[in-house]
Amino acid sequence: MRQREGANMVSHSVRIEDQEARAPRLSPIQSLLSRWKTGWHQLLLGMELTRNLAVRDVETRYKHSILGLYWAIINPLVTAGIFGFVFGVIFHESSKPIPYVVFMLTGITFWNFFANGIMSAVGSVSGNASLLAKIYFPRIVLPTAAVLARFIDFLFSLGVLIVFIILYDTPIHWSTLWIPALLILQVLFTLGIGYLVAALNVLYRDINQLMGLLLLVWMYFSPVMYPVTNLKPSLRSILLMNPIGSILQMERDVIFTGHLQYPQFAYSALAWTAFVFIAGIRVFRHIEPMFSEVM
Amino acid sequence: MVEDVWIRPEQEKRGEEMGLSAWTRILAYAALVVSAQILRWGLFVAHGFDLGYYQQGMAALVHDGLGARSTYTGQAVLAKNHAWLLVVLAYPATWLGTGFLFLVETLALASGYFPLMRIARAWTVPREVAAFVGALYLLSPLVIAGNLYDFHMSVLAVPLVLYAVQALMERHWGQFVAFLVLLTGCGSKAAIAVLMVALIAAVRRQTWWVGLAAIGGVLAWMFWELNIRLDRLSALGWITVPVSHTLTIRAVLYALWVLAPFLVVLGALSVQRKAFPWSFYGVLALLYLGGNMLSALPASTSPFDQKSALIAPFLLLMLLDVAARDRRPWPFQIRAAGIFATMGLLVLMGFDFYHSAWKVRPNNTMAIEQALVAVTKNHPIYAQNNVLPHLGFIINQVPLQRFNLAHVPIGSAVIWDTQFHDDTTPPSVYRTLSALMANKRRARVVFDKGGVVVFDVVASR
Repeated sequence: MRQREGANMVSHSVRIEDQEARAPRLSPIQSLLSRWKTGWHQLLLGMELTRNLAVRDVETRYKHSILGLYWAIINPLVTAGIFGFVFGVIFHESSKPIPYVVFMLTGITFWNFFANGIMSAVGSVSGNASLLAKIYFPRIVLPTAAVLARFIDFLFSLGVLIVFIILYDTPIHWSTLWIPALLILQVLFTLGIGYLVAALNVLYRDINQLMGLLLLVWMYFSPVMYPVTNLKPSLRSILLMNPIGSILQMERDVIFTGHLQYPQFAYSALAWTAFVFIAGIRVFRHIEPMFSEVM
Repeated sequence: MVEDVWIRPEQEKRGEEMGLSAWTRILAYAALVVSAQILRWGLFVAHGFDLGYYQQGMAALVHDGLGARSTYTGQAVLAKNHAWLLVVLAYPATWLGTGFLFLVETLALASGYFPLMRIARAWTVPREVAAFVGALYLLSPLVIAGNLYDFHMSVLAVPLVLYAVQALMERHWGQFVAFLVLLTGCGSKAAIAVLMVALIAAVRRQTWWVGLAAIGGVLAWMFWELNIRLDRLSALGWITVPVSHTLTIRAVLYALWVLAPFLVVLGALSVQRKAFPWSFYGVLALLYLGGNMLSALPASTSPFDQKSALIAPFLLLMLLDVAARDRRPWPFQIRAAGIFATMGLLVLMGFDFYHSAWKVRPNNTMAIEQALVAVTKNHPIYAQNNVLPHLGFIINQVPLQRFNLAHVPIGSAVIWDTQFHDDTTPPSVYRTLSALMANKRRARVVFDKGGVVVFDVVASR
């Protein structure tokens, strides 16, 4: 049954025919083209499988719940409400000229995608042990699909943010059109960490607990709830060295400021994203052969 | 037979793994060093004479074309070090900002790992030794320090030397010439490195004719374009630098620091193989080192100055050459000792950074940031060494060192942190500024907070 389900998800399969011995010798260019063709075909297959798994993840997550997809909206609203009360009302945190509620909700919306993406990725491989035992497919698809499923949730939360921006009459700039580019950066960074923790969690189940704790600390060291503009340059520089902190700051800047206030830090975020993404894949591939033994 | 499963050939997978490993190492280097560079800049540790000079020069090149003048030297921008690649970098850099310069420099240096590995493969160096040499490159304090201390065109020559040697080994003549031409774009400080690459080609039996042609071309470039005369080559071509006629203890210590990790490896290897390994590339490195040792400029005898970075590729090629002729994997202890010595030098780099940069940075950073907002950028802006890089790509930034009341244009602005003394501004300038500020008819103060003052010069007399 599972095997059939897996086969359905892989709607196209690679046909590996036993022709290699019979085929004529290929020139280096023909061989390269053939490898590219196979690689491209596999990439398409992987993308389709990832999409199917991500959609399935969202469907099963909300299938038997009364509020269904509304949870994707309720969660950030409640979080923003609590933090908004604590920081805005009790501590009088200011984010002028942006209303603090909007400022806060922007940070929470983008942060939640990152944090939820990672927490979903952590158990994506270890939670699918039976599927892994039955059929072969690139294992890296599992954490990728987990992160993309949270991206679908994020799109709903983004709708809430847009409503609040309109309600509070907060001016936004044309540079908001840069958000997709910044989201690509954030997705790649989240995927990189996701691959790393998904693989490590197969070997050490403490990773799940550890990540929950780490993300809590990470959130307070990122400009989610406070603006960095009024901080001392030295402290601000250290906080913006944190790649996700820098990405969040850029996302807020392009929406509400119209330009990047600290453009230099975009380059460090770019460099860290590239490193984390590639290193994540590297670690995942390194641990992948051990999955069947451990699980 | 047809299989409906997802199978990847094992050989292809292994090749991909090797590529991923290399990229992981390179990107780790890039992420760490770019962050450190930006942190230096953010904490006002970056220097105008290392970064501001290039920012102003590039802005001037974009604004005024090839004849643009530097406010730092008073000369044409390209006349100082003939680094014509500045023109190529100027347009994207003025658009994309200082971080772009940091990223380009760091990625270029990190990419030097690739040719090093390709050369190791061409020379059939054992895999562990190749990985060890690659690690030494990415951990080399000579390379990291040259990269970390803001921006220098000459540092870009480090990977280009390796790319040129790789092209030579693979007999790709077009690429070899292209890399030599690119090397000339790194300026006169890379001139000797270009000559040495040509020399490498000349001493090889199969490529002597390419080498002779390259030496001819390089010498012609040095004599006509760089205007280097034979009498000034007495210091092996350290063109702009006067020669010291006494060998100081500092210079000897400098040589020891630079060579330490390599001497540790070669020493341990010679004990084990009972013969001291020798390489032509080592001679080139020693020649380069000798030139720096003879220099009368103190900065040239620092392992952490950008002038020392160009010794690294020749030292690493020496190790690969020794390994290629040895043909046996080196014991783990020898490789660990090499890495340990390199890490020791990195710690030393940290101490050097603490004393030479961290302890001599301005502390009123909040006030300086506000002062930078208060200043208008239409007229010349005079500022201290650590403030200049924060003015960005503008043609009007001038180091305070060049402040001369007789020549200062009316309307010029001065940003002065009165609680900070940089090493580049003479005391006479500070005395002039104090006198000027006291005279309200000659200077109009527009900002005064936390010891940081911004004033406009409204009359010179």
